[in-house]
Amino acid sequence: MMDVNSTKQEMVRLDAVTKLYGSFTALHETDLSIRAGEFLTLLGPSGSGKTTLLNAVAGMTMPTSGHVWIDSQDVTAMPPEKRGLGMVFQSYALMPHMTVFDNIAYPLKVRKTPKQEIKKRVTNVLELVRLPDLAHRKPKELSGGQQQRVSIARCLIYNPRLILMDEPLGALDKKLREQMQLEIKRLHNELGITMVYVTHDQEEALNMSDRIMLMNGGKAEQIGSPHDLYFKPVSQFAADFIGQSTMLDAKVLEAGDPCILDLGTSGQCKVKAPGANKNQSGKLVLRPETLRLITNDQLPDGFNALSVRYKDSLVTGGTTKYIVELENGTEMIVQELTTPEEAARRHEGQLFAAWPVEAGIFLDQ
Amino acid sequence: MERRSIWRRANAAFAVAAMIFLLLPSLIVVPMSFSDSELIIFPPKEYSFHLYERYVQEPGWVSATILSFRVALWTTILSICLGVPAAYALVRGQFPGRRMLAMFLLSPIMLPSVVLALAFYIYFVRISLSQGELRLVLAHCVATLPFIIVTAAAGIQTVDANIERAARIMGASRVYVFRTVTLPLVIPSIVAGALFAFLISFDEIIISIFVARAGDETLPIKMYSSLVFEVSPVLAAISTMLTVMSALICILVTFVQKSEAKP
Repeated sequence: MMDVNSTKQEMVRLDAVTKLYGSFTALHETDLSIRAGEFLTLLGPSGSGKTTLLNAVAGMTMPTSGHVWIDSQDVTAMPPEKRGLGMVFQSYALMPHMTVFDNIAYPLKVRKTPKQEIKKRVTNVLELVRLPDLAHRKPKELSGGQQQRVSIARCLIYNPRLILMDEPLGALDKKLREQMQLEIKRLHNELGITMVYVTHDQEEALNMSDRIMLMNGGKAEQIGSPHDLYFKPVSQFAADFIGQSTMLDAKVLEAGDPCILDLGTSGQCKVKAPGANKNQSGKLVLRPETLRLITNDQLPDGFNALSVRYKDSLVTGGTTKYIVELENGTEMIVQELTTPEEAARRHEGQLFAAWPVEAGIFLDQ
Repeated sequence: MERRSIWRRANAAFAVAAMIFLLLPSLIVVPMSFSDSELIIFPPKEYSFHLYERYVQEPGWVSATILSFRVALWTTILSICLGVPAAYALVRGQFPGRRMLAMFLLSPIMLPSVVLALAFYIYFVRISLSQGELRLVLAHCVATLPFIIVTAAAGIQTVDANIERAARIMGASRVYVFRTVTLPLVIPSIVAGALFAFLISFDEIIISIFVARAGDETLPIKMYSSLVFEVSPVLAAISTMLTVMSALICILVTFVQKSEAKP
């Protein structure tokens, strides 16, 4: 019973999908399961295989091997028009010779919907994406944000079970992006459509997703919630790609709980790393907001501390980023709440960067 | 600064001189066509529409013109039907031998017309195709196909492939997408190509002489034979009309391409 239920709720499944272009492997063997109603983001640098994966789901790319399932149906060899999906492109992909109305009505005309109903549904969906009376304009007369709303409306109008978005906000400026992120998130919550979203912007991925699949070099690096990816990165790539962090060369001096790391000339520290072995080398990852700047006599229990020199500070409103330097010249970023005494810190000669033992992450790969 | 403007003027003067040199022969025929005389002389002593009347009245001229029109029209239609889908496949398709196929389809531009003409002659005899007009249309079609393919391909390349992808994902079949999205966007390019194809077929002579049968005289063939046998002054009138037609078509192409840049 449980099994039947869980397969019913699965919208997309990739079974050992690969894609080769000649001798170049765009996508290594990948398995993925996407729940119905989920917002999944494929995140990664360009050339990491995220668009290849998206195209395999859309049907624009035929996988070299493996199977794609949508709604418990093997669609590997099915042409895109039979899959019942929606897709939003970075370039909007609106038909330039048609008005906004005709663009949005296109999928309904394909489905031979009666004219009366088309008119009603287009009007409704234009309201849903909050576009004022622009139905009779040509796409060229709209702003980038408005064009992307039209292309989202064009997807929503035929109620596809799955919407794919390929860097939809890539061409918009920062403010508009943030506004559109909220808009897409709102539509996802209101309509409960499964969405697969491609982006190279980690902030966007963290903002919007239920789950993120981080990709690198045609492989899945890590799949998990934004929280998991931020606090429990499985690799140095993941730690570096998501969020800001300081990475220090480290070697395990003594395994155990906590184990002791040798940070070279900078000193030693404790870290929770149950799997680590003696003499293993890797990196210690520290997030800026887990670090504190203190003077010598303030070191609390259960904290690590390294001696640092003050270099610079950036007040970014409510928080301040301090750039400090370790003995060996490595820079660290420390983020603290901005206090009226901020300016005084620069003059407090001897400083230490401190962090709770459980905040450090040791990664050997 | 001064030197530069002298250079620029010299350049302009050279360009104008070259243009006059190239255009003069075609323009000289224009006043000659309004001559009252029975001889081809320049400048004419008296002006009249006499030669144009002779064009209409003398046997053969009008029927040759009609034949040329018919052949050019069918050639244009046939090469659009073959060339536009071919251009689409060459631009959007991903199949082995795509570049070789493109080279092959464009090869009639590179081959000397005489070579093509001879090949058609031998081929038509071999397959016993004796219908003269059909021979002309088929042979002209091969010669005009490259022009249709080049202009249509250029048009298709300007259409964002993602627009077609989006349309297919929305549920439209390949054919439906081509009809409702691609075609409306490339119509201006196709019209430009078609006008050129029409013009090329209309004044094509080398291939026509080889493949036409005794009864089928296109206008250029008739002009050529009249030149060889009698040097009729009517030729000046016909040349003038052809020049006007070419000019009109070129203006039309420019106009069409301008509207293409607009949408």
